[in-house]
Amino acid sequence: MRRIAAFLRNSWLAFKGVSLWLNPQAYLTEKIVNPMFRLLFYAFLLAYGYKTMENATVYIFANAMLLSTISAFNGVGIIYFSERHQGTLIYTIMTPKSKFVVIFQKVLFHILDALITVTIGMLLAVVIFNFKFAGNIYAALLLISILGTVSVSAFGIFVSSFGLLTRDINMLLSIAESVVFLFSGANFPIKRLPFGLGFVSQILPLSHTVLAIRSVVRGNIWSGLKLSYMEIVVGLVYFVLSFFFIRFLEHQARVQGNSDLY
Amino acid sequence: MNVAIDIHELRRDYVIRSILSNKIKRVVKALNGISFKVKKGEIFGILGPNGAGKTTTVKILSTLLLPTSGTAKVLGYDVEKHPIEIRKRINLVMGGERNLYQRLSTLENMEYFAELYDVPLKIRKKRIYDLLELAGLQEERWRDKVETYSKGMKQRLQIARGLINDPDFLFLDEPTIGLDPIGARELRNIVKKLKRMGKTIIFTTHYMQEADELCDRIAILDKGRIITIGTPTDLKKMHTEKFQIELILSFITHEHIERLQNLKYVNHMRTKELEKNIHLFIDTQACSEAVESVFNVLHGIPIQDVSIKKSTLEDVYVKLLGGEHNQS
Repeated sequence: MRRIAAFLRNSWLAFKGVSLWLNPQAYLTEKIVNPMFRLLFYAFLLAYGYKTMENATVYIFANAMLLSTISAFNGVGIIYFSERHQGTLIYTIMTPKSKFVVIFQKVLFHILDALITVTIGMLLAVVIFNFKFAGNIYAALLLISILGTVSVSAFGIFVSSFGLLTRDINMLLSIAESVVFLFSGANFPIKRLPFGLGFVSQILPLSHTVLAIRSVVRGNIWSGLKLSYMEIVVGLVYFVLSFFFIRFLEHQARVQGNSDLY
Repeated sequence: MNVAIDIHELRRDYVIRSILSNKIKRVVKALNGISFKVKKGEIFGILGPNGAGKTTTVKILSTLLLPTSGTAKVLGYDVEKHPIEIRKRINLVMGGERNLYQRLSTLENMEYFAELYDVPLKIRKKRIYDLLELAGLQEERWRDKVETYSKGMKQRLQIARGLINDPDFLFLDEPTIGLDPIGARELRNIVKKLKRMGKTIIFTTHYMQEADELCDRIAILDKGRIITIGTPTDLKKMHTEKFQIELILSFITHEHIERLQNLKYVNHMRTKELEKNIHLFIDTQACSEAVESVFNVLHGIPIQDVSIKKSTLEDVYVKLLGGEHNQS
């Protein structure tokens, strides 16, 4: 029990150590006001495009889910960049502890943070657009959101790991975020993508979650939950890939000797 | 010899490539085949100008960088083959204000690294408190964020952090850089305590007096090669005269200069005219004998001032790395 407490405590410290916004004002701006306006922009755009609010409902919730990318890319994505900037990356590399445990500690609270943002987004959607669903739909949406958030965070770790090798990670994160936005299907059906690009969405995070949300919001809870299984697979693949990729890039950092550049 | 570090023909090249074509633009030889050993419990200094290869050596030994060729063993483990075994037994402290989580407090930083090194929970709190006391950090500041600390306090905290895993071997890479004289002295006292605790230390610095005071042996590097290696006393004996006598005279004749140069105890002599006075610099191994004979020769010439200086490590450094030549 004490070991679990120590693990959680360190996860919190890892999160606190690299987070810029851990004060009430900054949190309000970064984690509530910004996501709220982002969601409202897409919601009104979609309501306008789909003519009726009934048609836009699915996409509004999908966009609330996309808010998880804020933590996945601006939080998880810059973990190594932040470490590099503070000069602590070399100590993260030098630790004899399993890199799997170190990474898990570093992302745990970012995942929880993303989940809070998504929940706030969905609550705002419910309140502002006066959506009314049965209780089991809310419960299903919560479960799907958790799985989607973990999956997109795993993708964030994968992209973040390039930070072991380069200090110019922001360009890569911007591209990754745009790609997830495009292929998630949160704003238009994936089948509308040209040249059979719909396949790409299958291997990217959140696309299965968006499909699951669509199904659940339309009342098909079980089929929605089944669709979420694929999101678990995608998340796991990125997590495992990240683990091996980090080991490889750490070796490359030792070859190139640039782990203390910032 | 109980060897803590064994380096043989260590080389490290940095390949600079063109961004567009990825072609090799040039190869910088940071280390050019260095070899040395460090004994357990020793403070071993690495000195040299910027770019000499000091930090590259430290990075290789602390498993952060792979050598291009040659071997480096720390506590019997090869840096390439057994980095994890080495990492359990070493730690690194770099100079400067970074290398800590600025938004965490002292206690939080220590807790975080204690968990990273799996310091047993039973002894964790005591070890953290003991180390912070050893580093001389005031208890009332332990809960303050590191970003509110002075440079000296951050450096003390870095030392405490570097000892969190009770390492056998500690790398101190310019730990006193930018510290005020009192802060630097206090940090040197901590390093002396660490030696008494039996830690083996590799110490890099640009401050010669500091190296002279702390190091058991010193290697001077230049352009990736070891220029010389030995105890501070040996280096001074090997590369400089023991004393330098400086006399300020109103005038001197050629005849006097010739007679002085032929004296038994004068190894080397030079004169310099400064503000209408003649400054006479005499290098010697036997101070009192040289003074007596010089005064005999200069009988009748008014001597305005006399000073005697013992050779320092800085004299060795300047002589070996060409500073004296550059200044003239």
